[in-house]
Amino acid sequence: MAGEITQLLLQWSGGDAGALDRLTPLVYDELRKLARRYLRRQGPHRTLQPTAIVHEAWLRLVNYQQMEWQSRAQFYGLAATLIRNLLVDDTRRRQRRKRGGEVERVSLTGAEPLVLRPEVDLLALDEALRRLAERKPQHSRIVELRFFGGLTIEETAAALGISHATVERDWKLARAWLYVELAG
Amino acid sequence: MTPEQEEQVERLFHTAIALQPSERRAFLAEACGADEAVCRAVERLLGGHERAEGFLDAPVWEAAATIAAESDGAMIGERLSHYHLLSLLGRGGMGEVYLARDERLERQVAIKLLPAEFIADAEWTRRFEREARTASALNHPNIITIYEIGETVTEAGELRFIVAEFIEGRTLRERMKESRLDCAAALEVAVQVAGALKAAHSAGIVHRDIKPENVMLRPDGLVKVLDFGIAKLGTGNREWGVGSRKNTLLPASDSYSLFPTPHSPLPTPHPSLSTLPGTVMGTISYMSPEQARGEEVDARTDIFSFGAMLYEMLAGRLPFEGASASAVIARILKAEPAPLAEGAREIPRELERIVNRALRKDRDERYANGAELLADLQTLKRGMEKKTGSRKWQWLGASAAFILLTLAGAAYFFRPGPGGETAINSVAVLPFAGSGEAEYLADGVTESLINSLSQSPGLKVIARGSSFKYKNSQADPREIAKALDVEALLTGSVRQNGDRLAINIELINARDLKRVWGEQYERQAAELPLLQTEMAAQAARQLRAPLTAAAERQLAKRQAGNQAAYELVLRGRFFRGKGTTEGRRKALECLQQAVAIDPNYALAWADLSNVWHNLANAGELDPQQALPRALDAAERALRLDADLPEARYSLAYYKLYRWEWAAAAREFQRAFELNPNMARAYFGYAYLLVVTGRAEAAIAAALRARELDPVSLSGAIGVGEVSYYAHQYDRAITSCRRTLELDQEYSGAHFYIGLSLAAQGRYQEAIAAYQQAVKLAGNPPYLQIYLGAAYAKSGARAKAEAIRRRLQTSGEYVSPAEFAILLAAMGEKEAAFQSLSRAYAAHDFQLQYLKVDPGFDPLRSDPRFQDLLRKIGLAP
Repeated sequence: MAGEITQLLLQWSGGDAGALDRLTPLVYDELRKLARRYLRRQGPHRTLQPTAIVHEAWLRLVNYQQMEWQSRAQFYGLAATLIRNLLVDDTRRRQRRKRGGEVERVSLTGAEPLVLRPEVDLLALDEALRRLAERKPQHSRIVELRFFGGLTIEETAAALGISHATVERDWKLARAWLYVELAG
Repeated sequence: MTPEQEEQVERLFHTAIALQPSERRAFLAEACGADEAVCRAVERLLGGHERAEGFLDAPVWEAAATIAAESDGAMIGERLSHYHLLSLLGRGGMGEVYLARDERLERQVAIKLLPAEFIADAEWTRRFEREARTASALNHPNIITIYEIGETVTEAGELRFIVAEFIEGRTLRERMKESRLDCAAALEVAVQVAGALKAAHSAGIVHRDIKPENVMLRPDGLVKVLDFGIAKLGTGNREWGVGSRKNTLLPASDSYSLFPTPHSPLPTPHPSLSTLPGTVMGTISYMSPEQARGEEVDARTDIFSFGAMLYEMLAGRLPFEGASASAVIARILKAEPAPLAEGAREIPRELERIVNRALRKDRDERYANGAELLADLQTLKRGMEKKTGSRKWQWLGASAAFILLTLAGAAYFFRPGPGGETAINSVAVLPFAGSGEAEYLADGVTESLINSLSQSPGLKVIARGSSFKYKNSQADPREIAKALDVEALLTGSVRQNGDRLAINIELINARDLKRVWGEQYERQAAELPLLQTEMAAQAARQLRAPLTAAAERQLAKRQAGNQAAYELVLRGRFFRGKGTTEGRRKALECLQQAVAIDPNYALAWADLSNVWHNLANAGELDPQQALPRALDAAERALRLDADLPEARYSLAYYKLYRWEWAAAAREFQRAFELNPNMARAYFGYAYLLVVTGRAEAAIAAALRARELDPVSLSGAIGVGEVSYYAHQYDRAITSCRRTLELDQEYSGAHFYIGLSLAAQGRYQEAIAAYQQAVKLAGNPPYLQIYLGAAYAKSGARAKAEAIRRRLQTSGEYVSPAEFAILLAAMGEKEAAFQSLSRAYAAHDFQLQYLKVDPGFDPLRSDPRFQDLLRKIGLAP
């Protein structure tokens, strides 16, 4: 499997969009399993080191010696997108259950017991990110990598092939913009 | 906004945030110039930036991982063994609780998945299993039933789970949040929780974590205590039921820290607790002093926690409050709770005494166990009920005037308030399905439920005869309900597998055919007698016509008997219900065996007495032999249980036979006072009333009986019969025709139509009706007598003469009282009086109609007739 994923990652970096479609479910499954395993080991105080999971997934899935840093960043980026989807889907599912089939906006602070950062409405954030992506795809991607992927400024810069300063600058703007979108 | 403007907004934003916040607005005012749109856009972003401190800074990962792993219903839709997880009921420190479907037994269950971190600990797991096994051995209506402790391996790893009874309802905590419980309601909950503690303590199990979150209240009023024996192994949060979504008292992880190691049985106050505000005290508020000190716990620990909980129910506040966990613990160890009576509410002094005794610091001064506690609570409850009894029953209808005081009580507590569900006031128990050996069990369960529910005041329960018309019926339930004029149907099935019984029961609202309630029971066959009481009690609660604890105990006592004897009683009823000569003979055998095995079994004696009556009535035994035996059996039954309605009924019947009219009336009345739904007793009473000349009251009683037993022939014919003797011939004919709609071939209905027509002088029509009856019933002597009388009156004297000769020579038993009617119709007055003398000498049962049967009319003016009436107690 490691070989297959490595191959797909290489093809994807080479611009083969179809490779991503095949890659996605494999990585998704792996992330889910890893997350579960991590929690079982962690005990009651669930202080996960998120990057640890992605890192382990990377180690397990990819024959990393063949891969360059660029690919690793790309993998992290993919993981970030997947986690975002996973989260958003799950939130929708839970809200459907709570509201008898209606999809409704609820603040996640209300939708206990999942504790997110205060005041983040995940579904609203997801939509705002989509709107941001239409006008500023790079800003949107940075938020995805940092917030959903847990990447540092450096890692984000590497994943996107841009400078630290740009990441930092764009991050600030994106964050302010998203805040206004969500709060207003 | 143009791209240029957007670019400008961005540039200005970045420049501005590099400045001190105080300088930003001035900078903007200058830099934007006249472009209002740009200025507003930058200001908005700046506002966002300034308030976004911390926003999105920490990645969402933590939550993502939690979701990805197992949180909040991730298992929905999955299968564990043969359980299909349907939805999440709640979660807590001990893991998530799902509603699941047991696909093997086809019932809903609650499944608690144990958190992974516990499973890794082998010692904890071993201990958990041992405790859960012990707890699962507890079998008590107020304790949640544990079905199974399971484990399975999924792709996510090893999973352990507990399968338990699914309880619909809410926790006592949720109930208390809504409003304060009144004294009676609190006492009702307390009695049931104490019942659970009694059962557990006598099995050597200590709960260790009694608190409102662990007490579930079902909508029907039944209280269930959760997580016996396993409570201490986890944290404070137990959520088996709907509606208990969360424990708001302590977040799971913090509450877990009360138990630093999973196998430490004793919670030791955790340092971090002292920083928690007073409002978040969960488990510690109900902790006993010995628990707080870290000592061994025993049954008396539960008593203390129970005391704290009852105090909270009554006072609306905890007995030991404090601003921090350590303050609460200090108060538990040292302080006395504020007197309960300090609140504005009136709390009986005895109740306060009970609470105080439960809350003693020194456990030697507390109740020693649940049994002692329960005894005091029950005494108090009975006392309170007696006091308020008369007031409570005002809402009941006329028939409730007869309700025994012992039945008063719990109904009051459980009646829904305004806005509650609409009460169901009438129900039919339809025969439970059961094949092979289980058939008699199924019939027995049906009959027991009818009998038990019948004792619920204010509830109309259709009698056995009408219910059993629908055995194996494919009819539309709505039609059945309409025919029986009931709002609900209760039915189910019985399956037997070796010595195990699986009983399924459900209550269906007849209006919309919605299932109001259902339950599956799986028990040892030996538990059937008790189970029937339990089922009846549960069903009664669902019907909002609960049986009182006293009535329940009474029922349990009645059902209980020796197991073998009980089975014989069920068999006896099964055979008797067949209504055949063979069935009655077999019933007699079964019941004679039953009383031989268990001579102290009142119900068996009462049934035996009834079968003797049946045999005499059906002419299968000489009444002179059968009736003394019926009396003997009834008297034995009443010596064992003076309030057994079946025995009272049997005794009444005997008194009727003895022409002891007043005594018979008293016994019939007692029978339907004890069982307001006893159709047979109303019928008997109706006969008594009509033959003693109280026509209107008789018809009312017959109508009441028919209401309870509308579709059985005996139920339907009664009104016609009584109407005839009441001389309301049109009503009699109409009623009998209605009976014929149930069964065209019912000779009895044709017979009474004939009698009524003859009484109206319509002899030809009467003869036709009698001939119809003769065709259907063979040619029994009584039919020939009335046919002959009609011939005589219509002028066909030769035909009447032929019948008279045939009756005198056939050797068949002919009632001398009835024979007198034929002779009277033929104008042979002297012969008629001779026959009546014979009837009196032989104590002919048919003489009871002397006062009211129009057939005797030609004789009435003779002094000898008045003399006879006086001798049998029917003179005016």
